[in-house]
Amino acid sequence: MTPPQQSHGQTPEFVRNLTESQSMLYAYISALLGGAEGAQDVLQETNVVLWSKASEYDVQRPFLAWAYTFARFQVMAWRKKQSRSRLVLDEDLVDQVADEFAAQDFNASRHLDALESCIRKLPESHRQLVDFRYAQGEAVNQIAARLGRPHNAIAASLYRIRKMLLDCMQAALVGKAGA
Amino acid sequence: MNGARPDFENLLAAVIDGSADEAQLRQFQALLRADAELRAEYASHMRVHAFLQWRAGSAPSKSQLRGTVIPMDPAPPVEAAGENRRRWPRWRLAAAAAILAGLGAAFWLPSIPWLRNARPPENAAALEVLEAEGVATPNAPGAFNAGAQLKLSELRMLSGRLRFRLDSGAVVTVNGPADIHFLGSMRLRVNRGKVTADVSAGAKGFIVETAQAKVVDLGTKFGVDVADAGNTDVVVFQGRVNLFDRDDRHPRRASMTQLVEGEAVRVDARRQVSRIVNVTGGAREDEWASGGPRDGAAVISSVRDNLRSPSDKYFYRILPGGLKEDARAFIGQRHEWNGLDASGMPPWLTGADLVQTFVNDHLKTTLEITVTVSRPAAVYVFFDERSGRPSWLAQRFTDTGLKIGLENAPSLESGKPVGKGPGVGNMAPLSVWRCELPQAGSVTLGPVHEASDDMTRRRWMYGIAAKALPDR
Repeated sequence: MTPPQQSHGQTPEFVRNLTESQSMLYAYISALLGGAEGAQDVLQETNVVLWSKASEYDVQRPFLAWAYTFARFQVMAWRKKQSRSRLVLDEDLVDQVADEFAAQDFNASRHLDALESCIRKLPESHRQLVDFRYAQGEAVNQIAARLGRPHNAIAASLYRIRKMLLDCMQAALVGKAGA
Repeated sequence: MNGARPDFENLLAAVIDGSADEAQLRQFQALLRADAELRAEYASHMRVHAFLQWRAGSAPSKSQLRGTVIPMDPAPPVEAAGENRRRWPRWRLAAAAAILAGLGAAFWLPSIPWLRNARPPENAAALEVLEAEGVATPNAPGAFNAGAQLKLSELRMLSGRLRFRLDSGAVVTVNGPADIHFLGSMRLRVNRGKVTADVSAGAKGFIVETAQAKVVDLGTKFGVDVADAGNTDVVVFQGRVNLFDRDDRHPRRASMTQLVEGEAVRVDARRQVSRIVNVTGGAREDEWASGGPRDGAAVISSVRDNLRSPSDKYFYRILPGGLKEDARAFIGQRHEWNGLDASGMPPWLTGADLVQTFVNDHLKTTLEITVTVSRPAAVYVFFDERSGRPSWLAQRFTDTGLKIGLENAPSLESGKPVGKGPGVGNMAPLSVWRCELPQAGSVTLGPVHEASDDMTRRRWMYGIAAKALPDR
């Protein structure tokens, strides 16, 4: 096989790309798996493959798109080891969601900063829900029991909060891009 | 699509929460297949959900952490200069791993299985010794003096009691024999021994992990005891904690249970969680033992009730010799036992073993509490007779005609202090009833209110004490 002309191997630039892509890759893998179960391990496997393939990376190509390709393979490999009943998406949907994900243009280096800023803008009650759900790792039914509210109400609130955060992040990143 | 949206929102919540069953998954897939807009929405929500997990630190796996951190010990990464490693965000850890991999790819890449199975990183924590009593260690005799500033990666104690403050602000008491590893100032691994953590607001999130469980503080004072038998006992004295299976790294999985003040459980080697019914207290708050008193001097050996609900996890606290002025009456409350007036408690009652009960149990009309004594003893019940008394009391006990004071303490939020000494504070007079057990045995107490009582006429939950009968 002829080596790619633009190959630079495991350079500091490659390390930076790999580093800055970690949360994006985690999100991508989580989405294809339909949740976080297994996502960490698939990310680890993906990192190993990306590192071993560093010499094949063409610096003219977007790093994340290249990395997504390998992450997708690793997701497929992981799925083969699982019982069908535990798979949230079928293979067609994995492909469709992968395409959808790849089509959404996010700036990998700034999205977490944007998220942090957007969380600060949430009303206190919403920040508290985010804290319960994510910082403390509580399930929706636990939060519902703690607050004495129906399960559906908490699920709906978290849905709205994620939507608000998404909109806010997109606005923040677009604003920065245009600045 | 609009008609499908409420279903989609609920299903997405179940998927993200990990609670969707097979039928829900099929419905979810059908909605996604049929609607590109919902697929886009799914991708967006999963992205934000994953970012929130990532931000909260719940995303990295065991293998990632091991794979990234271990190589840092022999050779700090290029970018690490001047950085506090404990504060590194995950991406920096990943960067470090990658850079190290660049420096040492020859061992890193072929060694992934080794990294996966390697021990987690040894870490260390700075601490200040607050108290040391009879501390004997196998390798650092004399190092633990009050005021000493130490940096430790592990603590092995043969015996004694050591109290120290970590630089996170958490105050920890260790009772030996103990084998403890410090994974930074916010995390301890207890292989053996008894640890009591008093966690200030600044150290909220403090973690104690054992072979079976991981206890995550939510603003509290709690104890963890790892015995040689391989069980982990967790007792919450104030606030609440989340209890996780130690090996469960699933970022969205709910905790095994949440424990609040006055609750205690045992996690056995098979991760089965069971209620600890008794906790024995000592002279100091951090002196405790799960189970009834093992000291032969104690009169009360156990206190049990007829509660069978798996959700009931609270414990009765037995304080051998604990009845005295200002003794706490109930679990998690500031109310105290006192003499009704300046003359104080009757001397024959002072020094009795005391049981801290639950103030809210006065509403349980089917409650039965069985008190077991290890020797001939008088068992006392302190009963609020303002609105009568249940039939069991007069059937099994005799009224001594004396009263004891229950100080209705102001709430903590009020900022008002609890009265100190006999006759001080808002005192309710409770009758002292007595049942003599001429030999070791048990007596069963009933509910505060019988089912036919007018429940609007409030009575305090009763108190329980016992004192050995004089030798005859």
